[in-house]
Amino acid sequence: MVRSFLMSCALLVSLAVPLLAQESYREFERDLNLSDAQRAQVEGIKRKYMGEWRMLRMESARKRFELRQILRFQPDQWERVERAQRELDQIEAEKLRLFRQYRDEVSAVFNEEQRGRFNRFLGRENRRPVYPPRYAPPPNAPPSYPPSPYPARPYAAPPETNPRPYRFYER
Amino acid sequence: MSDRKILFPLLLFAIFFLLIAITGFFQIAITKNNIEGLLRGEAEALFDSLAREIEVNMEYLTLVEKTPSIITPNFLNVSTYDEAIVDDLYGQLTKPPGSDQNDIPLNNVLITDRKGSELERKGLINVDKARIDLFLKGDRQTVMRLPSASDESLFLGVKLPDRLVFLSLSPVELEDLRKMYVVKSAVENEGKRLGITAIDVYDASNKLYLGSGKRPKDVFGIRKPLSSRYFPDYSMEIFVPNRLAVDTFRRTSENFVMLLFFLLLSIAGSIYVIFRLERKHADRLTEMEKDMARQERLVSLGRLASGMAHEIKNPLNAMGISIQRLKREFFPEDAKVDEYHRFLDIVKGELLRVNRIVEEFLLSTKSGMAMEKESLHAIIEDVAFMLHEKAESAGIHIVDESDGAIFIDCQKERLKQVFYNLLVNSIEAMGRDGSIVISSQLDGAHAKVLIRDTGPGIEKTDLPKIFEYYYTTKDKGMGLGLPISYMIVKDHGGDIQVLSEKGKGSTFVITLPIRKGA
Repeated sequence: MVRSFLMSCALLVSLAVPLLAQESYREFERDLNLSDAQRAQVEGIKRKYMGEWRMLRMESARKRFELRQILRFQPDQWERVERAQRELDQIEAEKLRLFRQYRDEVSAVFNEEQRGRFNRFLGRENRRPVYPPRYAPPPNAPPSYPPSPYPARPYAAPPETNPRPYRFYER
Repeated sequence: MSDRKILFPLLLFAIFFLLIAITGFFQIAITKNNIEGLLRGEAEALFDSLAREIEVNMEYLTLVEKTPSIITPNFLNVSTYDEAIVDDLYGQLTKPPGSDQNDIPLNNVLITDRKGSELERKGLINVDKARIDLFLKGDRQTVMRLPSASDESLFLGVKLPDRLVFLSLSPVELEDLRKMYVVKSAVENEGKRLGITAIDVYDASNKLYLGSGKRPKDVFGIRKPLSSRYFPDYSMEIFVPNRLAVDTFRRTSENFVMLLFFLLLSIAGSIYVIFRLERKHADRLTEMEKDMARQERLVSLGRLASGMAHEIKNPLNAMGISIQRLKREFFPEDAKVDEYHRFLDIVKGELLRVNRIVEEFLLSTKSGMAMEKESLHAIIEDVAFMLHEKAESAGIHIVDESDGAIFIDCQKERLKQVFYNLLVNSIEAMGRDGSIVISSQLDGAHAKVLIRDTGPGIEKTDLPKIFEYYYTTKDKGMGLGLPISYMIVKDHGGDIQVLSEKGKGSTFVITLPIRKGA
């Protein structure tokens, strides 16, 4: 009887711990317990990258908008389509590069414990990413060419297999 | 079988059936409740997961505007919502007029011809001439301004083959759209991932915010408040597939109906079998009762006859001796000598006849005689030989086809009397001409002897009475032969049956056990 009760409790605890462990961003940031100096450093790093990200995002949106216009009214101009697609790929690659750079710089500010916590949180985000909305293809888009220019994929990171595990964007 | 006898098992079966039916109905109700409970539990878990997902996404959306200390991939994902909005707006702008399904509500739109002359305006949208010139003078096909820190509104322009379309979204409109996209994204992605059939979100005034508002088929739905910090008083309804539950419930119900049907069938079958067995048993009991009554009557009559025979034998002996002395020692006048001797012969003959009858009675009652293993054929042959002359004189042929290999435990003399009586009965019934065939066969632990004659047969009404004492249809018969035979066969543990039809002869079937006590 006592044994069954204890086993039930253990089972409940084992189930409850992973659920409770799914902390929100606010909890993550609070538990990171950054010192004032660290906070000032990460804010500085963030400011440096935020402008670039915003610019890339605007550029990406503009290119995507143009691409849709071409696909809608000039689908035979494949060279323009390919160029726009290539530029979009470059923007995505740049976003990825920037995030890796940012992650490395921020990690360098953290101590060992904070770095572990940061990596674990990124891992959890990777398992349950916030997806961007799914885009509908344009009405007269060719069935196979060009490849879909729409950012249907989330920023996903692969499992932790190397010191720099988190890829910003995977195509 | 009487109605009262059948009533009890019928009542038992009815109670049994009723109990099973009630249990089954309860079982079905419990199964239904359990399934509903499971579905409700599953739906609530999915609801909570979905609501949490919306909340987490909203948290990212809210925080990204407040610039969090540390940027994670999800913040970058959230920031692409504007691109998704732009993408959907483009689709909406380039749609043919009239096809405005699921469109984003637009409050600030300007439509001009290809030269920039205004065709239609909605709201207070202000488009710089410079932006229109980009389309008119240059090769530009699109114009776009995404929200920035200085101007949080969104502006789009697109050059179409027949017109130029411009629109702007205010910061508030854009914020509302972003929120809607967060919910839409969570609903679409998580709904698919969690296997939810449909999801509808209702705003605080209970109007449909997202979804179709239609209930799909074969689903179980729950609607609860979203309990969100970002969507106060909103509610969400989710529909999970319940095909498995419906199938399980239907299968359970079908199985139960089948069970009831087979139960009913088996009850009906059982009642029928019981009814038939009871009837058969009752018939057999009646037959046995009749048989016992007849046997008791025969036994008592036999005892009476036995006593009387003993009493009669002594005076008969005395009378016999007296007649011998009369014949030997007394001489009448010469003229009456012949008459004297004739009368004495008549008296002597009648005395012998009475004596024979008495002897038969006595023999028939000697049930305690020892049983010996005898050849059935030998007994039948002896009797047939004895009666050969009598039969032949009447033109009747006795054909003995009995099996010589059958031996039975019996009281030989008494059994001889049985066959003697039956053969005499047949000869006398036939009168003149005909045949009597005697055959025998083994039937399990019994031997059967069949005496088949070509006589006139027995009336159907006479059949039940022929083994009763003193019942006879013959003018000179005494009605003793068949009852005595019947009693002797019964003493052997056997039976006599008569198969007869008027005008078609009769067959006596004598069944005897091969071994004593078998």
